[in-house]
Amino acid sequence: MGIEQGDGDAQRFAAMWERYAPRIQAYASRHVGRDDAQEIVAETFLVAWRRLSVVPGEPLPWLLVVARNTVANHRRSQHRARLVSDELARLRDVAAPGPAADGVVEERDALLRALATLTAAEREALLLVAWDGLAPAQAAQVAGCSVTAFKVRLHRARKHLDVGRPADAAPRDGRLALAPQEG
Amino acid sequence: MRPLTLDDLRPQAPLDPDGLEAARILVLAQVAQTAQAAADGPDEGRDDAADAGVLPLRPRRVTPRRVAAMTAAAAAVAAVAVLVPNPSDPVAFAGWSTVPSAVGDLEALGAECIAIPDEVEVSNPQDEDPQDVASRSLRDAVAKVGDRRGSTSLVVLTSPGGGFQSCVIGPDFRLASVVGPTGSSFSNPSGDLPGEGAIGIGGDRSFPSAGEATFASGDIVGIGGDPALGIATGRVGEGVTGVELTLSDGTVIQATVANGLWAAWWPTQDVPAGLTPIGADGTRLPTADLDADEYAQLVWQIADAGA
Repeated sequence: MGIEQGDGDAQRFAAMWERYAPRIQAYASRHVGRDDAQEIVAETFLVAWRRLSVVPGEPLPWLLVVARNTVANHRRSQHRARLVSDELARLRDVAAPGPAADGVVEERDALLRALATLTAAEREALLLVAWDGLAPAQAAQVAGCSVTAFKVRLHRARKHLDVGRPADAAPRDGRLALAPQEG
Repeated sequence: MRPLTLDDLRPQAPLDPDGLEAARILVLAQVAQTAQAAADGPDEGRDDAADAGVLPLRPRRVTPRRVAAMTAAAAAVAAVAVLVPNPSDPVAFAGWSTVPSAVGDLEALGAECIAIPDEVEVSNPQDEDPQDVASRSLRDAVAKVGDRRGSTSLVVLTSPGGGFQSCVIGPDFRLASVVGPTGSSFSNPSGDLPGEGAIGIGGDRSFPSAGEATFASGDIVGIGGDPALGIATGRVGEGVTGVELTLSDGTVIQATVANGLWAAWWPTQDVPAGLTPIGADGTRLPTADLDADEYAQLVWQIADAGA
């Protein structure tokens, strides 16, 4: 990382950056896009630097909580309608290409499209587990709800994702329904 | 072939090496700037802000006094215990909206508020400030503003005894909350919420200047459950006819403003993050950022401990 403090804190912070900054960037990118993600990453790690003494030994959930707050502050200044097309574009940009096989491109697109039409809370629940690799208790902490509530949300999200996977799935969120469907 | 799953599409890191390098440079620059400022000498406002976890990357218009008050309050209110008698009974805040509706008979709601039994469980009563004890009584309080959303209303009262006194009145839920002169907050839910945690959020109880609004106090109760309940109150200065309260999840709530006060409630455990006064002509006046990080962390710690 290159912070010249020469003590254990600096080393710990540098190690934390090396291991988790890419994951915070991936989280931020799927919420605000690549252009603004770098600012979210920087703000998140500045909070971590200042509050290093309270960062837990397993820092990812803590970092994601800070990133979530930073994203919320960022959105507050944007006041933009959240469109399905925007969500889908961010997801396409962030998601891995998937295994090389016939039909994967279409299947990937259908899956991401279904994901984009979920409510923000449901999409977040799925991705905190599937992409960020969090256990339900950790993910609930990031989502700001109880573990029980998170598990219910995750269950519903999985059901809705299955239902929404056909290409002609309708949006499930009132705000999202205002957006034009691509394709 | 098995169907594609979300696990198959997990992002490959690093997603954007150039963006990550830009972020790294930004962090280094900010850390270096902070170190240089520290070497140049103490700055009361900056140090208070840093202690409160405030980032230098976004503009901030909160006075050091407020930061100090809110930080101190966070530590103080963590010791306040709240009993919820029937955690299994759901509470519906049906009809909640980011825009309030007409409150109706404010005086009657105030009387109903005063009638709520003022029983407070304090974990360390010997440490209580006598002024706080005195100010807990709702007698002689006058209702000043009512914030109605759906079938539930937040009523804010003032009394000769001191701090803001407020209550939430709904068909299934009642809460009395009193903020004493030292900034501490005490809650007494007489209804039921699934979650059992609660925090009070202290703020600035002074009278704001023209064109400004202050955050005076707030409570988050039912932490760890769904729904939870958040309430917030404050004062408005001359020329301010509206207030927008932004929560930590980005939700923007139009508060009710009357008699020099503003009030708002919401059915989640998200914490207040920003305050925007609105002028009579609709002009958005300078926004005050609140210490969302500090309180959000506290909420999640409590929720996690109760999980």
